[in-house]
Amino acid sequence: MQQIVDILSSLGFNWHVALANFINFLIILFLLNKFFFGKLGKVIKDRHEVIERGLSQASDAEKALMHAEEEKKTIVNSAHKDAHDIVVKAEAHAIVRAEGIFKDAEEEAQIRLGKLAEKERKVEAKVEKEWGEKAPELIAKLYAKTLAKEMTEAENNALIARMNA
Amino acid sequence: MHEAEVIQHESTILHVYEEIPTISSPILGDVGILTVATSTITVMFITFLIVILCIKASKSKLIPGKFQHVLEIFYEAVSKFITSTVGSEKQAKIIVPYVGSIMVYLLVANLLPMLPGVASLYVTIDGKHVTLLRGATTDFNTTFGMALAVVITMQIVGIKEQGVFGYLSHFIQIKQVIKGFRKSIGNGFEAVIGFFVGLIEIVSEIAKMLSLSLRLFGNLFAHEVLTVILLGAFSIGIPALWMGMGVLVGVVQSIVFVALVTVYYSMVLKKEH
Repeated sequence: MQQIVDILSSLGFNWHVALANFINFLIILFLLNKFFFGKLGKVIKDRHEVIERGLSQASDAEKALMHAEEEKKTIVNSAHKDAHDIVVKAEAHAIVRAEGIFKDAEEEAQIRLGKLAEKERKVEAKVEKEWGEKAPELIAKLYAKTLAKEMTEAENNALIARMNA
Repeated sequence: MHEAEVIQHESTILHVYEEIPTISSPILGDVGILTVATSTITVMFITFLIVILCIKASKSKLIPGKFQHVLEIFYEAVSKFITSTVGSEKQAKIIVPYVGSIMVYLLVANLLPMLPGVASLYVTIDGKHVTLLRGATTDFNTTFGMALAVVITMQIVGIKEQGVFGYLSHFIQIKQVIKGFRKSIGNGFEAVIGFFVGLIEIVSEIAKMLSLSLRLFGNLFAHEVLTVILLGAFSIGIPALWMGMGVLVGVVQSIVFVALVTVYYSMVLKKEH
């Protein structure tokens, strides 16, 4: 043992200095252990957890998105179908309605046409009646006028032609 | 003319030879039973640097900044290295703080003398100039104190992991001897041999301490001495290369030390020998 100590002291071994350095190193070991590696290890582990959680949440969100997409598809499809049904129904309804309107219009037109014809007949009858009342007088007047005036041969002929026309 | 040059050259070597660092670092004074040598001052300075590092590191956040990134790269590298040596991630996690701390300390201690200006600080003792911040690992007392601390913490970790009796039974294998004799006489004698091997293991713990400290001290001190000699022999070129070599030596020796300590730790952690 003494020999070993002698050999070591030839290398500059001095246990007082070694003790001081030993204590110093223990302090360093404690500091690094606690504040450097302990802290960094914890931070890295925490980050690992956060990232893992984030990733799993992201995959969940992706799944939810896919689900929503499918739901959207079915909803859109059913909406399309509904819309089609509504259009078909509306068309049928419109045809029925249009036919009704057409029929009503025709009937009204018929009625109006009938009324119009009656009116025409009335007017005609009235005109004929008035004509019957007033024509002799008018002719008489006309004759009186023409007879009262000396007519030439040509004038007479023209008049006859006009009346014949 | 030619002769004069040669003489001058020789005198330069002689002049430099005086400044070759002594094997023991110069002693500055006593504090109680502790003696403060120049290397102790360096260790204190390193402690100061490491306190700053720890303050920075303890402010680590979940979202890292630039500096924290560098620290984390270092952390990941060390834990990867230890995991590949130990083999199991769970066991590696236990020893990362211990081994990693040694790595940080050794890197700072080995590379600190490479910084310009650090070696230029002088104090005068008995009319002689001595470097105040002598490279911490170029003093055997530092490496010895360090190896002692490493081996002691190793025993503590071993006891923590395997229990007091579980751990000590590797060294004093009485239980195995009794068990062996109960089985058969042959097994009993085998266990007796195991008992003596266990006793030798105690010596091997001391040997670990000595081999770790002497290797580190030898390499770094030899490098320091050669630096001074080369600076005297060639003033341009080669010393610069040698300084670069110093960075390499510092890093490589740190890694060697850490690798060995990792292996020792993995032996302590394993239940089976």
